Amino acid sequence: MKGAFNISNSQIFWLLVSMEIGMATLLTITMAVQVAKQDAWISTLLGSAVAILLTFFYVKLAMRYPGKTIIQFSQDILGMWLGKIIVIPYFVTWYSVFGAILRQVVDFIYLSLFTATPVWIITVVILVVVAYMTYVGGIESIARCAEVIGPIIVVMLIIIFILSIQDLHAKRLLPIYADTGWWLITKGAIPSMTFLSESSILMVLLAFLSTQEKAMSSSLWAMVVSMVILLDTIMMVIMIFGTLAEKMWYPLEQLVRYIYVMEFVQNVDSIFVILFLLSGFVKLAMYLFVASYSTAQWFGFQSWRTVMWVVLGIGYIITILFKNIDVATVEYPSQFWIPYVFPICFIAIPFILLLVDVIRRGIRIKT
Amino acid sequence: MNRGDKVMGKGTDKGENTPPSFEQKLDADHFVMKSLLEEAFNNCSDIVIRDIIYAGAISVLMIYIDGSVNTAEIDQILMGEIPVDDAISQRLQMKLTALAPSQIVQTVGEVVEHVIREKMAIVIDETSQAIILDVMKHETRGIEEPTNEIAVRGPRDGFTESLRINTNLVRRRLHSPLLKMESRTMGDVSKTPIVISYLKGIARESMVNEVRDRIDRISIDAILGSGYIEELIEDRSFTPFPQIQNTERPDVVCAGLLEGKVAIFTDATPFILLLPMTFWSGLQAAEDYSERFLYMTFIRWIRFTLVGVSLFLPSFYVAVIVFSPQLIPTNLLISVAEAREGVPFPTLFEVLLMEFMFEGLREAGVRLPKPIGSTVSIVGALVIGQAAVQAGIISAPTVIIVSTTGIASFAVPRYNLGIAFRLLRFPLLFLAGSLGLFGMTAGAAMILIHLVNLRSFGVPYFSPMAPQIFENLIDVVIRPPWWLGRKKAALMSNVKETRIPSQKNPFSRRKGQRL
Amino acid sequence: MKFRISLIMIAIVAVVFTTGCWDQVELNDRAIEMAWGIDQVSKSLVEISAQVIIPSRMQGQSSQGSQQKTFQVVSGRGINTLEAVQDMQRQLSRVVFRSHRRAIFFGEDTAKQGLTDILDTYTRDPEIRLRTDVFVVKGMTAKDFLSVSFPFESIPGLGALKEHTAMGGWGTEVFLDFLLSVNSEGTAPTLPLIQVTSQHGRKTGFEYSGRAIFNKQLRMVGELSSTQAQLAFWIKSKNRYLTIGGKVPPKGNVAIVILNPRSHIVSHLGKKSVRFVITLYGDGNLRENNTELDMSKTDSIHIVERALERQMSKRALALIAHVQKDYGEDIFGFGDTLHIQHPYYWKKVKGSWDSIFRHVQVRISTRISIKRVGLTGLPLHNRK
Repeated sequence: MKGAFNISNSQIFWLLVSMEIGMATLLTITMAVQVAKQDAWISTLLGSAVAILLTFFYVKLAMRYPGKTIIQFSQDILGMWLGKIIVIPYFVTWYSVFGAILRQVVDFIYLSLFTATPVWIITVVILVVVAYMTYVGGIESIARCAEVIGPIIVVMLIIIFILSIQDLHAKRLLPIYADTGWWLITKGAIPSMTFLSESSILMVLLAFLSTQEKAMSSSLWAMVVSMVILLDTIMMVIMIFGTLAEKMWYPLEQLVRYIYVMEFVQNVDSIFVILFLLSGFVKLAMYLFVASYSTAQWFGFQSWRTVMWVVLGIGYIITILFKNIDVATVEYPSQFWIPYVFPICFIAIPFILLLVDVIRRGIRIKT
Repeated sequence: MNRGDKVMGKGTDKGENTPPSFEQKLDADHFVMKSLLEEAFNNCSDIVIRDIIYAGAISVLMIYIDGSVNTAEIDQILMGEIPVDDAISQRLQMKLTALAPSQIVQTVGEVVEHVIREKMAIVIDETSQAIILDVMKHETRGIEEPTNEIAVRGPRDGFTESLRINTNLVRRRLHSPLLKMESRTMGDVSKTPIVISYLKGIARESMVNEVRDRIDRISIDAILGSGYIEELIEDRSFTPFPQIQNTERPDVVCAGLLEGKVAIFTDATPFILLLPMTFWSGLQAAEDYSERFLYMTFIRWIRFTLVGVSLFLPSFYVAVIVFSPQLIPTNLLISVAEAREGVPFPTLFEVLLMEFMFEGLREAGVRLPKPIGSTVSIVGALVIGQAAVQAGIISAPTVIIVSTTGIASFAVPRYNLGIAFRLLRFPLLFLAGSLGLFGMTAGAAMILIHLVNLRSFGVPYFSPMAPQIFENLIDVVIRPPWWLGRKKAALMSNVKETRIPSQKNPFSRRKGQRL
Repeated sequence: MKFRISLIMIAIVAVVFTTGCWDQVELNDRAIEMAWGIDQVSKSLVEISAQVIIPSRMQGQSSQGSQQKTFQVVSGRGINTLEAVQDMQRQLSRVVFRSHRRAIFFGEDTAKQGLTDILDTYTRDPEIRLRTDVFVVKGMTAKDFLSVSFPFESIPGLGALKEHTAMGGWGTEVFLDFLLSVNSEGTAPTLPLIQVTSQHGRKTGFEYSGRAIFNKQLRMVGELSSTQAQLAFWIKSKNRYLTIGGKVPPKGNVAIVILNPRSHIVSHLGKKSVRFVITLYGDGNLRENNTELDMSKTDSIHIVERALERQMSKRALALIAHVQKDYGEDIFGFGDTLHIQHPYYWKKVKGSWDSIFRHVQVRISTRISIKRVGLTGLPLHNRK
């Protein structure tokens, strides 16, 4: 296959961070607060902890077959046909999530910046950027962009947090636990857990890593950093809006809009939109690359770049298929992502593969 | 300068243009020789063929370009008295070769070749060979301070048009046999000498090979400046970003060589090419390392900000005014709204118009003869800006924005990198004008993607930012103090250690004393 | 390579030229609206008024004299806010731009009829910011109020906001605060009140005049005077600063500025009822001393502190009793305190909190500490 890509550990770190932060901070907060009220931050802590644990297993699994993607090592583990069949759910996930994220990004941009511009123009512009990012250099180009965009996002978020310190009321976090109880808190952990478990994409990305030793630490650090930022965001949101956040589409955007410093810094939510858009570019490009590269591997095609155009087309069609903002932003995660994708792709398949591999290797050593 | 008097097509073979007689051996016969050479240099009025009878016994031919050769000493020898015997031609030959670096050639072609390269050829009768003497005497400009790269603190000498002086300026700073100067000749007509220079052991061998390869692949009629070479060897042409740095300052070249870069000297140009170039090295000025580090770190940050301003300010202004005025503080918004009342153009057009005017004024200011140049541009800017605002054609904030951008774009230390920002401003303006902040972000992302995928001689253009090389990134974000032990750029140089051995910085010594 | 780049360039150019300018509105095609008034005209008709600035008149106000107003009030009617805005737009040559709105005004009658039906659009519309100040206009419709000019500010709407902030209020946080208390079961919402001042029948400006109290149906049920409101907000720890004065026995009075007024409320569960112990804290600077006490002595500072503390506690107690008796709305957030401190008990009582609140027992103590006494010990004119 054309193009042996090389990405470094710091690139893995920034890829993960810039991909996790954008969507998670934007979309999980409302869902968590709806269930767990002011205790949503405990839920998030819980959810991200589980996600980090899962990430640990993803990396462990991927490191058993260095230089191979899940498409390849599933065939090594389960044999050609079974291996090919078992990864099909991933394609469903990747193709649909590409369309869903695209739609979510477009919806968000549209809602916060536009009123009259046709939606397809926004979609096409985003697709052009994403296609360019993916086409010119594959994962290397995406990783390098993430290395620039990731720090920008983190720094900007920190600035946002500093600027909103004056509006915080720690009282709004109270009372802890009493209103909700462990069941609701656990339930509230689901959104952050499922969103952060997108790190399962590592099972493809780690194949391109140039030096394998530090893969575990950089992936886990990325998850920890994402968790801290997500936790920080959700606590900020609760400390400013209390449980009002459960009724807001994008609480973080509202928080940014609420920032007000000396008459001069106000209504800066447009800046936040830019931030989010940058994260969206990286995330979309990554899914585009992973989907097209894996498809090419699955079929044994020589050029993943040709496949890319197909994925782009499918993504665009999926974007149109979502009827309204509710379907893409609420129903897609709650009715597809949480009940199907998470248990199947993020838990079942990786663990089956890991288990079979451990057993097989064990047998091999004995015999 | 133009290449108007092109003599031969690029594709034609060298051999076709030289008359067949050039290949022939030098003739022992004096008159045959003379006519051969006169034929070769037909209609070249600047080439002198002097026919002398030495010591009244043997004929000697001197061939040289008038004015570019120092003939005084040779004249002295040729006028000198000498006993006439059989070995007279040998003795004359010995005397001449003692005078200057010399070589003996056998063919007419070689004689011609050397003469046009400003050497003197002396043909002694009946020897059927020619002595080539390197007694070049150039009329050159003196060493002056470079006008395009001025440093507040730093050496005041700059390169000149003479290749030899230029290499001397560098050699004078790096007295090391590791400093290599490989010589080449380029251009079928111009025969321009160029020199590839690098520090052996520090520059990557693979990179030097790549440079050699690319230079050897060039086939062109004439090289009239280093810009020709730059464009012929750069990685990618369809990009506004320069991938090869040029400089007039010997200290910059030396600093580059020490980092493992390769320098290309071209005769008759004071601009020396330095490669590979990265985006961030384009934002570093010559004096960054000669002033104290705190101040220079501050200056670097100012520069980064100004680069951002020069690229994004006009489009940001348009996007904010036209699409998201909520970003502007209330009072500022009111005064901008006040200023815009009655302005007939849409904001986008207004900014474009002013940008165009600004670029025009800049271009006119550069090309105009010096005495009127600066006056015209300043007066022009004032009159046009002031008058346009007062007439209500352009709003005052637009003028402020455009002039701020203009100033910012000249704060980029490398002129050719500044050009890139000036060019990219326009597509960004259009994007901002049609899609607001969203369009601007998309445009910025495109630029970023382009930048991270660009390479200069194998070195990623945006390194050490992306791909991140942490120890070198420090040198981008701040100007690290020397005692911190600056690391060599990992992608350019072979050498891994720091430029100051870690145990030898002043602090570790001081610590040792205290103990 | 070249092909790819030219493709991208074509794409960009195509986008630029096909998008035209749907969302593009030049600044001189926008009507920048700074304040907003809402009146309920009849059961199903809302009247919206907006104070829109006129940029060309903002220039050189001083030289041209104050004959020309720098703003224009436009209004429209409709069954809901957006319809009214549509109606209003008919009178404007420019598109209304609402993102810079800093204050919203409700007419008193509207507030009394209830705000529930008209609030939604203020949180839904992405153009509108949460950070606004909200006022109830006392004894007037918002429309009439908006057309009153204010001598200090060229945009009167901003004047109201600034008055509120100057009194130690949190200004633009009011709306969010209001929404939060509407959403909470343990706090009754309040809004600042503003009133037009007049001299000889001519309207000269307006003044901040306390808070309007709302019930859960968002109907205005009563009001607090400016000093009462300050005190109430001390109990809620919501003031930035406040000035209090008081008598000091045997004779004379003092005034201090309290810079960091805050309170601590503790709820105690009794067998049948809930008891609240409130401690008001304040670090103050003495600004006026009309007594014969020498402020260079620690003892006299103590005397002043004790005297003020006693008076403040008494006033606060009276205020709470007044609110309990006359309005029965928990504007102090006692319910929220109970919620935080005894969450399980709260679950049992939250349904009937309104009636419990009326009979809640409250004890108040005040701790004022004077940190600085100004530049003199004794009054300089004192002959002693």
